[in-house]
Amino acid sequence: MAASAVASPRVHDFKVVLLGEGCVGKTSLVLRYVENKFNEKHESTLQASFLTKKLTIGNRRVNLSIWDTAGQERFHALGPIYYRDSNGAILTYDITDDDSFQKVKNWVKELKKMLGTDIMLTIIGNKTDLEKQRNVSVETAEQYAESVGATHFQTSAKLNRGVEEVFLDLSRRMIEQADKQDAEKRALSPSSRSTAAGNVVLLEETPAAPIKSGCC
Amino acid sequence: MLQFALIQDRRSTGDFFGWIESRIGYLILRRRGKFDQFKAGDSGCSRMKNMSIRSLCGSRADFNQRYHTKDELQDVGRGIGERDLVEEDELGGEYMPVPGGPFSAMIPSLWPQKILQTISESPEGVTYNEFGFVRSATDPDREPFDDKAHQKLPWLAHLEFSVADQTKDNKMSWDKMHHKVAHTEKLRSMILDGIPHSLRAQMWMRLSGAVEKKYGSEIAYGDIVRSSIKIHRADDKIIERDILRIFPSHPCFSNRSSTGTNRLRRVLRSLVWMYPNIGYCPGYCSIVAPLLLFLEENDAFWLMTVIIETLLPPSYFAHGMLGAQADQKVLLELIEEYMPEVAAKFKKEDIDMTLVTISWFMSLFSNVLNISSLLPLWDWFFYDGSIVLLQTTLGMMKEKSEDMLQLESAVLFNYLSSLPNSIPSMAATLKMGASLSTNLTPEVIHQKRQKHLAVMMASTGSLFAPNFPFNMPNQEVSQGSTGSMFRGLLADHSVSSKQKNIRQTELLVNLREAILIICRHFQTHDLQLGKVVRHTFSRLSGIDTFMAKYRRMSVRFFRLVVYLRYLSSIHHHPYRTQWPITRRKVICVTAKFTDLPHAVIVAEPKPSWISSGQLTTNWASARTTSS
Repeated sequence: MAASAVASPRVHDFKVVLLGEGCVGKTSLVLRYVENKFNEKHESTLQASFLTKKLTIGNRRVNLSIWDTAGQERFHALGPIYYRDSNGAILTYDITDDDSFQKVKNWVKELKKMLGTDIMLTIIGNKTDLEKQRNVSVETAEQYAESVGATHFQTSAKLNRGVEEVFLDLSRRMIEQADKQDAEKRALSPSSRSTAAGNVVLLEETPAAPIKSGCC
Repeated sequence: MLQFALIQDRRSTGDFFGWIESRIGYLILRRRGKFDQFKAGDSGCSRMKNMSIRSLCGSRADFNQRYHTKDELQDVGRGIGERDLVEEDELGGEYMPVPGGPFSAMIPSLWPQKILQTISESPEGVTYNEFGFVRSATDPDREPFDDKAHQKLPWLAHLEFSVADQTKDNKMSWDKMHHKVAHTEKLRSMILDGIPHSLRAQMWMRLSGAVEKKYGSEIAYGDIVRSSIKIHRADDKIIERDILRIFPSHPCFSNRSSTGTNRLRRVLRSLVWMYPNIGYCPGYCSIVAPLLLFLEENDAFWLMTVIIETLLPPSYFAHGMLGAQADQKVLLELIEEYMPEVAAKFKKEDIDMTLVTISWFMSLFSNVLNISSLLPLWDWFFYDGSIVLLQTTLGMMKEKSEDMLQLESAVLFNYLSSLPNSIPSMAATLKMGASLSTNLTPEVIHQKRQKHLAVMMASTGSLFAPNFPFNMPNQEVSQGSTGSMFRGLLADHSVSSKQKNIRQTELLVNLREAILIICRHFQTHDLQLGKVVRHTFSRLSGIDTFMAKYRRMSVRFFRLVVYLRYLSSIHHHPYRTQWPITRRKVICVTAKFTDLPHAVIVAEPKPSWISSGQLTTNWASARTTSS
């Protein structure tokens, strides 16, 4: 899939980071999305890993590098290394666990503070297969998401519900954001371009082949 | 030698307190007034009784004896009363694993009888390995994991010199052995070749000093288990979640009431109780679970305390994980020194190694290595301590450096993630790591660590707001200034300067953590007394009365208290025993630590040093002006 006859020669390289408390299903979401696998019994993630996925949206080609992180409270200290240079963040909570939703709020605050509006946020309520044990109401979550300018989705990695949409929507918004930044860049005089340090990397060529394995 | 808490005699509550006070009073006090727990949860008391169970060569009788100890553990479990801790699996039946066969490398008290029975009836289609993990198709073929006589003999010969009491009979046994094995070059070279598996657990205990710790402790493991009922709910929740996710495919750890899971739960809760200022760290689980495959529960606990207190540098598992983060920086520095081309490659590809290696260090490689490669690494770790982690990583990178130089960013990162598993022979890599860095001594490492810790501590606050102008203070926190700060506090002349140095670092690291937590709280909770603070307070006895008394106190004062509660949890903190706190003490202690005049603390409407960002700067500058 080397030479491209597609209209746009540009390929967007986006970094997406998954954040959220431990055991909300971050690894499962990525594995479902990238490899369409689900493992009922998963070991907890201690080590950050990343998987890549290629998308075509309209005539744009997007390479997503999705970073799966360790969710445990203790690893919060590594947050800045995780979300450094991210274009998008997927903040995941478990619909059966209100604490994990509060944790999402903390992440939103931190990301807003550190990265401002450059980063696109998506909030996900995972484990909709456990609807009966729901503890976080859809309205609360949606209201909150709207108030911070994030989109909200409900997913089930187990039943493969809503996973694809999350990444599609996020990619669209990241493209918009990249376009906006491009436009701003062009608006500036070429000489002062160096000051507008956007964090979108635009590559001329398609980078390496997708990585099949890698996580766990 | 195993040690169990036997419930021996029941006494009145008054007697109980008398006993506590004479025996472990000081320790309990140091653990911040846990009296209440004893009062509420226990009318009797427990006494330690030493039972010599294990002899050098595991025999059948030996095993039976160990089996009987199960009841005692269950007693301890019932004492907890909170949840059913009675083991589900039938232990200690007739079935024993075939040498070298499934489950054979595990500690006998963990042998799952039902599965062994099935195996003995139909040996075909065995899907478990020696360690009890489900064997996967991708498992490399290797020799069965069993002791070879020619490996074991030199060890037995060597250990014979360590036997303390040779008079009674000719039979060697662990309880006759000195608690600590002398570290010699000869022993070191033997360890690099690997400890025979049947001696491993006991050697680990002796090499690391865990046996000494166990017998030197004024409180028995059983008592700790009992006291740990009241650990914080948040920690408990994570523990419950983690214990099922550590070895999901191992029959002894697969469900909530499996034998291994129960032991793991008790050890983890005990650790949380033992180190309240650390709380629960996911690293605990990944170390304790593998330990439990080879050690009895109470040995695993004491070994873990040695890992936390002496083998690893301070603040490895604590909030912020400063110690572990500093080690990553040391590692990078060493890679630059020994393999400049690899370091340059990482830089070029913009790869932050920390994301990968920090979890190796925090789990002592157990989350990336399979057990058979992990064991030789741990043999060496228990002998030499944390320097081994650095040397091993260096060895692995050296071995694969040529491959790594060929790869590009994403592929390289994933290659790095799975690096430890691509190592063909761990023993060879360990030797390579050791020979590569012969000039690397613990002192050199210690200096490097201190340097990075100081830099990290000086940039306090960068965790939440690196763009905040105050967070870029003068990056110099020289050892001189930290030394003078604690000179008064640590005027203990019996400790060597090196130990003192370590203690000072520990104090500073803890102090910084405390401040960070407070800052984070006030940043995210809009100055309301939210969950975090209640969490912070919950472990401090007497705080309720204190709160009631000072309900209307200013927010500023409240912050001081939170800050001081953390000071109090520092290990060797001299103020630790002075709780419950009073307003005067708060001011005095704060003044002492910050070197601000008392009047400033009382009068200043908003003490700037406790608001985020500026804290370290002001704190440090206050220091320099006073000295």
